[in-house]
Amino acid sequence: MVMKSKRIVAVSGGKGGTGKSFIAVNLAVLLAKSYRVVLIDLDVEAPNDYILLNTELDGGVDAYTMIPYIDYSKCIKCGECSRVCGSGAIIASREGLPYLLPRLCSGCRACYFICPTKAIKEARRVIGRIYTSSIRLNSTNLTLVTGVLNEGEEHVPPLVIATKERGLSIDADLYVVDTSAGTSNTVASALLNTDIVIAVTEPTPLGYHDLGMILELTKKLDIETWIVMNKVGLGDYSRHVELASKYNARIVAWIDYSHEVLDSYIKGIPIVVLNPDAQASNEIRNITELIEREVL
Amino acid sequence: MARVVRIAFATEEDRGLDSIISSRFGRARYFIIVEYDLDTGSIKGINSIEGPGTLMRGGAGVKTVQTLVNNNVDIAVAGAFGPNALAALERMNIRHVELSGLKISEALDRVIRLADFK
Amino acid sequence: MLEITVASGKGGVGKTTITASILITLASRGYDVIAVDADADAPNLHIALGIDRWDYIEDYSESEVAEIDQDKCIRCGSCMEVCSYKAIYLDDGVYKVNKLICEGCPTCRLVCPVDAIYMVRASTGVIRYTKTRYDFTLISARLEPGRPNSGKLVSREREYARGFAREDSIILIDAAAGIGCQVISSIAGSNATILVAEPTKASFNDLKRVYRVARHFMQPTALVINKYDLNEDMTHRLIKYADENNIYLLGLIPYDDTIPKSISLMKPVILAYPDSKASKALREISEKVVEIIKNWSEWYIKYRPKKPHPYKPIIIKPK
Repeated sequence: MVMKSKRIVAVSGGKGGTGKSFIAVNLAVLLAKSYRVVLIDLDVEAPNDYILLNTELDGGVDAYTMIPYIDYSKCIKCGECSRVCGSGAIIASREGLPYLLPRLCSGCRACYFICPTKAIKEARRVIGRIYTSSIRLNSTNLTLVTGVLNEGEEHVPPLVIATKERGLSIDADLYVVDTSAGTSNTVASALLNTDIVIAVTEPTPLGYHDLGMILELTKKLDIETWIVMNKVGLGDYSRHVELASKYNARIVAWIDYSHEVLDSYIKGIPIVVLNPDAQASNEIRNITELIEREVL
Repeated sequence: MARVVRIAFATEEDRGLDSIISSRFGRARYFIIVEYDLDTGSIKGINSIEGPGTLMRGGAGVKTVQTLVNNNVDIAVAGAFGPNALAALERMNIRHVELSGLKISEALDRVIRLADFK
Repeated sequence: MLEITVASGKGGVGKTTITASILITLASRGYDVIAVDADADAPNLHIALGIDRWDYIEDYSESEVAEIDQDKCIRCGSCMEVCSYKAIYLDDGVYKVNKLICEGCPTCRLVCPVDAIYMVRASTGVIRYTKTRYDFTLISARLEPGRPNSGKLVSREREYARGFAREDSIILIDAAAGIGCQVISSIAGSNATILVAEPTKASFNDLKRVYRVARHFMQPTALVINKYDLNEDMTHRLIKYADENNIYLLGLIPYDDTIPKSISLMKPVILAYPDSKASKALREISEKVVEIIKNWSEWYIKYRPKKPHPYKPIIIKPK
């Protein structure tokens, strides 16, 4: 299960909107010039990498979670399934007949295992779709794997796991994982087995607060963390620097808040392609060199 | 044959018919169950049960509905019901009335009237 | 009592800034407002409001995690096989539960042939509240890193808010980014949802998703476009989308560097830079919210989804 032969770099960072996807996409594009790279977008609630790469999501496969299918001919109405369900997805009627409320089912399969007469079969529920896209930028090839959660679905981790698995199943030299914001177990799951976590922050009190949270998470997960200071110029970063040193996390890049970056956002072209000599591009190039030295 | 309905009122206190109906269904502390005779308009019985304190991740509303099912409840009364609770109530054919802030004794007539139209 | 949620789908577009502005404006107009920061994963509203202490902090523990009793364990590996969340791993021949991933479901415990797995209470985080210097109460929460996100924590915050509320109170809920359970819990049960977007393809895309979730829950919706002048073309497309979908256009805020500046000061922009373009726009938006509240029934009926759009999961039966 723990495949240490795979080289995985994750881009994360507590606060939404700091530029995780921006960094992940540009890193992947730059590294794809010399290596086989798979970029995995695990921000399944609101994936954006495909947009930053100006591509559409076509085709794709359904991603499932297990849902119980009750065979009433075998059901002895003991009510165990409704009692064991931790999500409240099975409710038993007065007569003891179990009824499923599909949206609440988290796919844990406890009901399946507890049923004394094996009256519960495994059916599947579609929770989202996983898309695999081949991106071609100038002469660089990059594979993008995107998970998209169905609107109305509550549980996120199953799709993150399935999307990550799909991405890692593609043969490559390096995997770049783009996580969602926050530090919940969804992010922890996305960060599992990565070699380096690149935490993106911004020099604002909000960035500082969320940087602390992501550093705490990576410390618990025992994963080496680098920091990218994005949007330099927005404010003071002295506290961030202190925090970084407290957690032994190197700050590997300082990217200025610039029109060039905004421009690349609006145009939908990665800055390392649109403007390879921009300050941001140079800083990102430094990160790739570090990755080459220390990960690959 | 007498038509008797069992009405569960969500409350935070256990003071019988003087209990004030709670604004929340899902994690109400108690449910006061009133057995009401529709023909004579009289109360045949009253008992209280504790709301299920849950440690589960989600579906507190559903667990609460399960408790009502296990107690043969026909109508549930609280100020607000979450979407999961509503789905479960519907599935189990239990009617619901959105009402809170009144004492059970004051609300009874209104509940019967409102539940009839649902 | 009215409960209004502010959501966006995409992070970093300005939910917190806008929520803070509306709160302060409503409070200054005499409304009894209550603020709820429903983003326990990365709570920011208290920072935007310059809060550094809490009147009340409560340890919130709603979840359990599994633990393997190594003395009983026979190393069969069944637990790792059945875990849907990949929370069980092999470390030097020993099966262990990763407490940062485990969702606390009963499955591994049920499957273990020797009953070697038991559940332990896991701290989920904290719920806290305080009276702010702007004279309204803020309810906030912080998820412990690695704990599952859930709608339950948000529901609990909402309960506190309702507990503080009077009949005429306005509760404003600053939702998290995304559309998962914590956002669903922020939206379902509210009376209306304000959607915030910026004129980028990414934000537009996420806006559509969160709008559809709001619609599932029969929410009348309103739209605020932040930094609208960064891309007037995209702004027009957003306005068109709102028009086509009966989303009330609440307002447009120009890009203004006083916003990030005021965040650095930990002071709301309408107080730190009251004459800036952004502040003017935010005040206009808040005034429109006041109008909506005054004419609530009318607005609600006009912008409420006309027919239900329930979420119907696609289920594939076993053969």
